[in-house]
Amino acid sequence: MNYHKLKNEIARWQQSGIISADQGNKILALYEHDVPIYKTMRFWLMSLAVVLLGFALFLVISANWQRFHWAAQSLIVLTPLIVAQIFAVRSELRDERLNADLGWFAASIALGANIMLQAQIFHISAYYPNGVLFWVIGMLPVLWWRPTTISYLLASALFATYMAMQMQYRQFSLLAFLPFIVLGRVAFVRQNAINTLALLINVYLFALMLLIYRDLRHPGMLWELSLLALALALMQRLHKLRDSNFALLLVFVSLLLHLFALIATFKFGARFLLGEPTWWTALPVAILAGAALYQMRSELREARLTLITLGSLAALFVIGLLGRAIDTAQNGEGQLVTRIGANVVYLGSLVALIFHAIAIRAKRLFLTSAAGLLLWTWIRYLDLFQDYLLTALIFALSALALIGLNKMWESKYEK
Amino acid sequence: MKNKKLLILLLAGIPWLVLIGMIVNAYLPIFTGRSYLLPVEARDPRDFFRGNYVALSYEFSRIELDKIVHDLMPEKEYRFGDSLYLQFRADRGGALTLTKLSTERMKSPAVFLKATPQHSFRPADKIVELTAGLESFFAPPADALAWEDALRQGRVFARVSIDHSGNARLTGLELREPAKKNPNGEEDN
Repeated sequence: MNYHKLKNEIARWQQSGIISADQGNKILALYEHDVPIYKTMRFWLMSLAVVLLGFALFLVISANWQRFHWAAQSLIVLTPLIVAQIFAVRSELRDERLNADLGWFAASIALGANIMLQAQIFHISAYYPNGVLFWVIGMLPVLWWRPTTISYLLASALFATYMAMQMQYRQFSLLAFLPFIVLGRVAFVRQNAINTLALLINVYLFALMLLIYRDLRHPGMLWELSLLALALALMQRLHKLRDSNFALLLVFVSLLLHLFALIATFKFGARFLLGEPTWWTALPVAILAGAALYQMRSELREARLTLITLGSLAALFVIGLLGRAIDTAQNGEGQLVTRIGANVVYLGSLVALIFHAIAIRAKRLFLTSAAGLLLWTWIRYLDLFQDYLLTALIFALSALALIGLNKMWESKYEK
Repeated sequence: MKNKKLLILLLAGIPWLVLIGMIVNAYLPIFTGRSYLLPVEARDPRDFFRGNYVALSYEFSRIELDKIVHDLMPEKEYRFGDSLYLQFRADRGGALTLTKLSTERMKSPAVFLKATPQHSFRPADKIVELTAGLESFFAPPADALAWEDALRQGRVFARVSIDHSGNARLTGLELREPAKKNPNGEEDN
């Protein structure tokens, strides 16, 4: 809606006596917080410009001006921080919200530039995760009180970088809880696809960082599956997510699940799914996710899609545990069970998705699932299970299962 | 309005607190410490936020435990983040030579430097690689290359400030002639 046009129209209606001044103000109050699309576009364009300026600033710092006194270097790089903050404060005082957000975002980038300049001046080691952590912590007030998607993305990317650096040396700092909590809170308050996706990635990395700190180098694929279930539970918790965003994220989780099932098709992947002796770390997370989803069962949006994803996850998890038990009893056999099991899950979930897509007339979901089926066939053809005959048998049984399911479908809907 | 002013103060003030805290922490060893020289070796990578730097390694970067006095427990695993202390002997020009590796902080007036293992290790492995946060010297690309040439000739010393806790900060690189060895194989000071 064009707010200025509405304002002019209301003024005209008031002059014509169609509405009173009080009514006009009430109508305007309804829309004054709506941000016109052109302003949003301008915000994104300006944010992009700020990012480019930020890159330029980091490159200038990288050129390294040792010949200047450190105070002169510091003053030069402090200038953008001061200018950005003055611009943000001025905009805050004038209630120009978008400009203020832009100013705080620019100040956040300038803060990082200043931290890195000081780290350069003092020759602090190239491995400097604390520099990135300080940067994120410096951004937290802006994230908490003036959150925007672009600030959230920057903070998430920095926090992910920090966690990756910590994992490199198996480190963990209690300070990491600060950005973790704030990022979680912001994703909950401002629910959109980008924030949620960034949150899911950060939750995953945070959990992994804790595990690695406790000396669990890779806890196996059961752990990844548990976290995928946890991601599903977290998404369902976000009720303010727009339906289109929710569906997008659900498809994303489903795709990841299929990727895992596909990896398990290969020998090395199957071994991975069995997990290290630390598989027990996955159980509490899986139980937590399962309990949360069960508790929310009446509120599940896209209930059938969620159940297909969750069912497949649970099946893969059980197969992993089963494979592990068999592997312990008979050396190596567990991998074969895992590979075949994962394929059945993959194939089964694709078939379920195809039928679901037909039922709700979702063309994209149908085509994606059909492509997945083709991929399965291709990979299985290239990478045999154990020998030609066993693989051929599985192909034949799968074809029969498809035919059978189609018959069932026809009998259900065409009578 | 009062709340809004407080909010603006927080939004604008906390980044400054973080920045000032970081600078104070970085400057502390220089302000409170004494200046020494360490002999160095080099490489030339790039940091994406800070540009080119000369990667330095020191006598203590890779230590053969058989050749040094230490009090490490043979079967204990030491990992990145654990504090270890390197004791040095200073010559008249302030150049340091490693004398001991310890798990405990030394008492003054010993010159000692706090370090941490680059990777997990057990003393039974006989080799330990340590880092003390002095391994990156940031410089303009041309200068970095020049320093590397000098490093290859073994003429470079790192000027470092070390405080009473063993924390250190690299403050510069200096060109010096390498120590000459006498006929007994010992270095002349």
